[in-house]
Amino acid sequence: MNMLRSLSLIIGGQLLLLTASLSQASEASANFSRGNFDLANYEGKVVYLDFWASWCGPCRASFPFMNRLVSEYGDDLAVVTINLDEDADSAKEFIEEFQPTFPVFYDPDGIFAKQYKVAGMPNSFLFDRRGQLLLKHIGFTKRTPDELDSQIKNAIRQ
Amino acid sequence: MKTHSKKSIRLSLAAASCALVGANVAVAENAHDVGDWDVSAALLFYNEADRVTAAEPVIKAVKQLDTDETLSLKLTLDTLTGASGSGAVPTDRPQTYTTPSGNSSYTVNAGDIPLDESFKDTRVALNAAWERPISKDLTMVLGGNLSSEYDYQSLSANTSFAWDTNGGNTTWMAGASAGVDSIDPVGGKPIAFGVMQEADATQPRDGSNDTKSLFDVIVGVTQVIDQNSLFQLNYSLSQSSGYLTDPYKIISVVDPVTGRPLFTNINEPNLPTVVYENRPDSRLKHSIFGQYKRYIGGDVLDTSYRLMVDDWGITSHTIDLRYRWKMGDTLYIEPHVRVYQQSAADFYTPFFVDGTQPVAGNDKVEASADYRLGEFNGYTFGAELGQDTADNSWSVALEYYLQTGNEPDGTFGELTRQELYPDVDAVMLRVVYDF
Amino acid sequence: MKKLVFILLAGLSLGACSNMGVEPWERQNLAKPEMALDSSPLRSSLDDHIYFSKEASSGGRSFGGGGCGCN
Repeated sequence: MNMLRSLSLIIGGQLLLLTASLSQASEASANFSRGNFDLANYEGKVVYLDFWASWCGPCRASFPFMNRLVSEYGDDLAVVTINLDEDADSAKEFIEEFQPTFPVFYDPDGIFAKQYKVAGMPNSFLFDRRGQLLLKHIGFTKRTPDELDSQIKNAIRQ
Repeated sequence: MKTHSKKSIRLSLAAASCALVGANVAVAENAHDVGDWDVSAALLFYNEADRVTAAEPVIKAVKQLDTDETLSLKLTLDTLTGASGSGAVPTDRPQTYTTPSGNSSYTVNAGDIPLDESFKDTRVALNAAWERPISKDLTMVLGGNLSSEYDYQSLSANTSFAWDTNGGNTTWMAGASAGVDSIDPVGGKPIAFGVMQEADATQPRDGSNDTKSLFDVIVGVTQVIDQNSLFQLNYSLSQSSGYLTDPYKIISVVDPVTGRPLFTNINEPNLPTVVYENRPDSRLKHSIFGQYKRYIGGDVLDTSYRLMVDDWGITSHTIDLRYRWKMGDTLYIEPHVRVYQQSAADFYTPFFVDGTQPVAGNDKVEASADYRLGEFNGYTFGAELGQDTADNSWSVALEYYLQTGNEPDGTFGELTRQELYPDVDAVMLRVVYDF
Repeated sequence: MKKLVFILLAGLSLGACSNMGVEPWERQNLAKPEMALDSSPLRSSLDDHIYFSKEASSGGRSFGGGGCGCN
């Protein structure tokens, strides 16, 4: 009896984990999660946090860069983004187009934006492994990857 | 086929290419990714019944050099045919005028408003503008314009700066432009108040060409009001100096009793006495422009007002109103109304009573009968239908423009029985395609 | 002229209201192409051309402000 119970618990637990990771990785639209972003969840990793919206032109250029960050530094760097579109459909279309390999949190009321004092679009923040703020960057141009790469490498080395 | 140039409309149109500061700045249309070229083209057909017909194709390409940097290039072709009011008055008998080249003449029927001879011309204009950030909140534009037709060239450069403050909600701007136009009328410039002679005789022209220079400065502010609205307020100062006269406009000299033009030319009995106009050699314009835009659940209201005051005594008001109605996902229809009102220039002179006209060569006196310097109202009514999709967009617009003014004061005799200031109306068709 | 200057200053002082405006992430409607101050530059330049040749006034518009506010 005890064996059966433990087994069903284990299998149930595995199934939960499986569905969780499936919903995370499969369709881009499933990347959306409402609120519940917490920087503390990423302690131990360097965090690149980016605030974006579908109507923001430079944000389009930032997504390929952030996908590249994931593939280059995936184990040490957590790329996390917060979408500020009021219209979820516009955000979903953007995600369909750019296929991010990083999570997107949905903040239509701008609660996290206010909390982090977003001062322009897009606005990214780099935190070290202990959650301390290392830098803020507003906007995205062709120069941005060069400006940020060395800072990110340094943060990872610590 | 006569191929002399008809400066009247041409001068003004060519001069119009001289930088309106900021007019060439690439405005972000659909999201364009770095490296993309956004090409758009437009075609304007303009037709005034029995007068001017113009077709103007334009092609523009904007390259997205970076997310905040663009280079825009525009090519405009202007083909103009037709005629416009010469400034002379109609009367109750036919009048025969000499063409600008002096080689031939044209006859105007009794009761008809004399129009410049039919002309044909092509103008090419090229504009370029480079917009880039200088620092975090400061953007700069550098632009240039070049336009050319065989006897009129125009060259100008402009620069402007935009400074974002208040979290991007308040943007201050300042700009300046400088340009020079070179005018080479057929036969050279006419002598101020020179009397038109019959065809093949020596005309009162001095065989020279001339230039005019233009300087503009503009300052303004754009303020975001809320998530759905913003307004802009600008002040601009525009100074032009040099040859500002229209070398083809004339003024009739009428008999002080009958109000009919004098016909005293023994070689051409139908040639009335007309003298060439003369304008000041400088002009200073002040303008204030305000615009308000509001997003209303998918629709857009766009309204603006401009006040212009200059040292020629002209004051003008322009009110422009558009409402873009969103129909479905991508289609829209946008009705448009524009109301324009201007007062006459101090030296606007619809005709000279014989004896009051200045002596030929007296360039200290200013007078012009050009209806465009008179007092009139202009009304535009139109609508645009278009579609904006993610990849491209198109629009078609049809507009009607009516220019109407009162008959000038001081008419008498035959002048009261003629229409000196007829209404002029035009239909415009405009097609725009964004690839 | 004095009246002109007064109107202009009054208008400009409105721009100094630093409590007017939106947060950087609230600009989605302002970022729409149709909400740009000059949303159809080809149309504006064609129109300006016609009116310049038929009337005694010209210009007025400028650039800058509104829109996405990005970068």
